[in-house]
Amino acid sequence: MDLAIETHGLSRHFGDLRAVDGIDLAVPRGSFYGFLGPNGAGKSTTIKCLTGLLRPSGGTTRILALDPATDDLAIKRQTGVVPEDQALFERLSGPETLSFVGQVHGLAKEAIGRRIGELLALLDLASAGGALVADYSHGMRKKLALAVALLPAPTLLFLDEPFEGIDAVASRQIKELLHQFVQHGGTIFLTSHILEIVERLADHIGIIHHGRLIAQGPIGELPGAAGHASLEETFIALVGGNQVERPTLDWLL
Amino acid sequence: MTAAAVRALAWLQWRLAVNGLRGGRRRDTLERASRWLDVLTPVVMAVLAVPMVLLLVVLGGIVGFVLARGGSGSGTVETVVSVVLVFPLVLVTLRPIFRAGRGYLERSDLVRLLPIPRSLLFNLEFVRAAADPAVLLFVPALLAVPCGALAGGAGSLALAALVAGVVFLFVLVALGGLVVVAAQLFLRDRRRAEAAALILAVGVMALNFLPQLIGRERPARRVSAAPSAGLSHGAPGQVPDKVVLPAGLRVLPSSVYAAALGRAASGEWRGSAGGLGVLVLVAAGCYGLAAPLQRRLLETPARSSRRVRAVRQGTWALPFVSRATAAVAAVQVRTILRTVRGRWGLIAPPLFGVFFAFAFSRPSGRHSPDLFGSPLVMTIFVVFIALQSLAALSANQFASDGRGLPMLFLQPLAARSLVRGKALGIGVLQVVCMVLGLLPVAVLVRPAHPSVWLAVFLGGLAAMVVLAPVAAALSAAFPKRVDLSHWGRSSNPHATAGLVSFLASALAAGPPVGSVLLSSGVLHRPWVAPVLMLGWLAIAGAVAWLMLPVAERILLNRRENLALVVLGD
Repeated sequence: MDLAIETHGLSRHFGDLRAVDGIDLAVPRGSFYGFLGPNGAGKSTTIKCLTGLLRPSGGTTRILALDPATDDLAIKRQTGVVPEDQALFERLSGPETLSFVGQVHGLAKEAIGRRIGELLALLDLASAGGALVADYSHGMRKKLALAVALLPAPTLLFLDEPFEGIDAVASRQIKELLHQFVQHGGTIFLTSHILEIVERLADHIGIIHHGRLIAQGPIGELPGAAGHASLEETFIALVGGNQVERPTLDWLL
Repeated sequence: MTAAAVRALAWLQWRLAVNGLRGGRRRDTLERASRWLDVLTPVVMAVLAVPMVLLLVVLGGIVGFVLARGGSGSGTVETVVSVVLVFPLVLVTLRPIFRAGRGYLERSDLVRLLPIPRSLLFNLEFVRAAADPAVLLFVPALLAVPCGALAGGAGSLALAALVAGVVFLFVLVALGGLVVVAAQLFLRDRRRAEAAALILAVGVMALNFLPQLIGRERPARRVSAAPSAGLSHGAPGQVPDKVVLPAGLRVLPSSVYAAALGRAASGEWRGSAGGLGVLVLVAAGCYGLAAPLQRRLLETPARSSRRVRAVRQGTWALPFVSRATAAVAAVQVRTILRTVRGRWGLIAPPLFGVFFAFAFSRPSGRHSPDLFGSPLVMTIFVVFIALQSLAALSANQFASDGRGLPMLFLQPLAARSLVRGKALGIGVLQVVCMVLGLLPVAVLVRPAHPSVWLAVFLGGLAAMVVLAPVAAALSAAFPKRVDLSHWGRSSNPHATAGLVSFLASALAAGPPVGSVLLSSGVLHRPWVAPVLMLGWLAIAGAVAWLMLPVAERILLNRRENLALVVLGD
């Protein structure tokens, strides 16, 4: 199988904490891969390791059949990232931010202008004009981060909670766009807490829990999926959500 | 309910302070050391403040003692008290305005949503104002005055001084609280707060130069043997009993306090009580005025005004520079110019140039032409200031990008493009700073030999070139999360980076200064200076060329740590 992302024993430790503990990811090219896990499971740390923001403590990684240790720049030319932390310059405007990304990727001036115009219109950011990102709302920042990831026309997208804070209209447009992106051969590696979105968009799922990959595969063939009506039920069953005894909050209810 | 809220808020302050000292879990040894060094800075400042407090206590004791004993020195003492106590007044007034940038209110939003009485929140602003270091620094001194009076054998004066001291503290706290509330209300708009901070920074700098400018204009006033408007008592040739302050200063609470003390010392109890009454009214007025401002603050939503900017994509095309490097340089210039700290860096050199030119250009009646009066020294000094004015940003050039830095790291940018692009961007601004700083000196002061001007400029360029890799390496090794919308400690680089950067600047300035002084002062052949400077510029370029790969290597090794620092992990 032709893999866009392939890791063997990928791990990242912070002192005694094993945030990512030897995971073996296999993300097929042209797939929409939903990467799920409870809060603090290691999703964002995994994405940071895959995108080069964090150095793995161990294991091997290949992105688009390239080794990040030696082909860092070649990988970055083919990938787009929407990080969890909205990595944007506060003191640049949206068009300036996108223009910078286009220049760094070596796009022609005309192409940069056209792509910026279309992305801003699609994501409903054109009305912000030349306002600085410092004055953007949370949702606008998320949209701009998505525009930054899309502008260089990557073949692989890493999206960490891309729908967080985005209104329903824009969310629908983005979902359609991402769907078309995959249909045209692109690969998406997405984390989201909204399981309905993942269920509707993704064709492959990976579930991480306490830094370990506990399930991976096509959405209908996930180990443990049998007998569960929805991805949510499968997910809760796999991470042991049913077995945890929780306080009843009798003082509230 | 109120007691519980007070306890909870006190606990909150304590936890925030303690947690602020704890690093994230993702720190390596260098970062932990770097963090502790940064934490040590305020501790060192607090230790350094001890002698200042002791000095103020001794001064307060002397004031009380002299007033108790009476005599010719009382008037001078009164003036000294008036002037010294202007400092806490200025500090409690200006500090909240400097701090009122982005994020100032966000921290207290959670507290506002909790069921805490408004009156308690209101009074907390005054408790915070009372805990302002500017106030705390002067409390022992104000209490030392009655002690001194008691030592001088004047019990009733000691009592009056104690009451006056307490009343003056009330004024400081009430004024501080009022300014904090007003700043939160009027400066909660990011752009307005940043504009206020910048205007204030320029104003404070102008005030620093004011005594020099005034002294130059009125050279003979203080030494006049004849009684004048400036002296209230004393025969010709005698030490003046009292220097009359300008009218503007006399109405300040510090002067009213000093006058109340003086009147109490001379037995004018009614006049003294009147002065204290005025101070009580001022404190009550500040407190009363703050109440409606706070109500408005709580009841109106914060708005952020957006400046209508033209949509620009702004690309830079520079000869001999790759597009990626040029793009990084352009972003560096834009982001610096859109912050308070960056704008201040650009404004400071021409302001210094203007003030130096005005203050030291023409020999006055009182001053002989001094060292700073020399056009040569003035140009060297202005160039040094131009290089230093952006040092805070160059010594923290990576972390000062904030969340923009991870974006840079996610782009296909080699360390080489990143380091060189940033060096280029900062360099462009430093050249602009040098030119803007030298212009007023050139226009207002009799110029030195043209070759000296050229030499000084080339020397500045050489220093800039040789310091670029040093600043990049320091920024990569000692990053600090900063807020450049402030002017002060929160926008300063890491203490270690700042100190090493300053020392490196002083070292880099050595060869140019030495060459210029040698050619002009010793050899008396000014044309030699630019020739020497061209040689030094070539050497500096070669050194920088060799050092840049080292800085790039340090950046590569510290990339992860840099990203974690700016993301606050």
